[in-house]
Amino acid sequence: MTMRSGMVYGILLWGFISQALADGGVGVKAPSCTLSKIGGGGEKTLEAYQGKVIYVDFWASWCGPCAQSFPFMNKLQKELGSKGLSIVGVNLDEKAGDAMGFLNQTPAHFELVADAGGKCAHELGVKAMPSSYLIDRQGVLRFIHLGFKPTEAQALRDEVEALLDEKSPVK
Amino acid sequence: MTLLIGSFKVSKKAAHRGQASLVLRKLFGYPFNRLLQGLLLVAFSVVLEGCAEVQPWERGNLAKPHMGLQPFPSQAALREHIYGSRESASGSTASSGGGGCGCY
Repeated sequence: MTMRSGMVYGILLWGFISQALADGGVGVKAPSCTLSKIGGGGEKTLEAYQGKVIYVDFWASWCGPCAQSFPFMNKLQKELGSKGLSIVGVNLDEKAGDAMGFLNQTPAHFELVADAGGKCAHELGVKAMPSSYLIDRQGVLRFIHLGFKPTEAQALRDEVEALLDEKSPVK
Repeated sequence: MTLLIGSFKVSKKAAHRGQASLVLRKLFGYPFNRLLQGLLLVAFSVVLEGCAEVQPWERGNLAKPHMGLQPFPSQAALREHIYGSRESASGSTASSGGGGCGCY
């Protein structure tokens, strides 16, 4: 192997490794995304939910399965909110008006934020719409779900409940 | 006799015979193949620059009904339904509606 081909392979390898690391793996501390609240009213970071189980859901108005997941998330927030669950719906629409139109038809009873420019989506490596990320009380990313299927809802709920039952961090 | 191109000396004879590669070799100091390789590499990197990955959340426009390959989605859906019931098998054609949001 000549020096030059060695260099080329090295660069390729580095590319693959950095790509794998950038994809926000499970078991790693979740990035603290800065998100803006829908309907005005400042910014919110994921760190602000420290001590709670966070269910981060990336959605858009044009995404059919996203609309399907909303009633499920409403129910989850209503029933498990008191146990320490926070559902954060991150909107990724390019036009804010689209999101409002969607919300008029599909009511959401959980916190809604917008991710301008998809910065947070990039940091978490969102690969599908919708995508949901479960973050435990310590702020560690635990589960990633691609898409939403009603048949998988129960398994998702079980995971959330398991995370809620874990001990809260020592303060 | 010599012909001066730039600061390189190329034999007039070679230029007359149309030996382009020889002229270029004299001009650039190395075989023409290498020059071609270099040009291809530059062209490739310029073209690759134009390829941007469409992220999953950027497919809002692609998901619109009028982005579909079918010009008349509802008519196509109806025809598909009739075809399906006649053949007593459905799903032979891609489902209508949208160019594809790539949703899961």
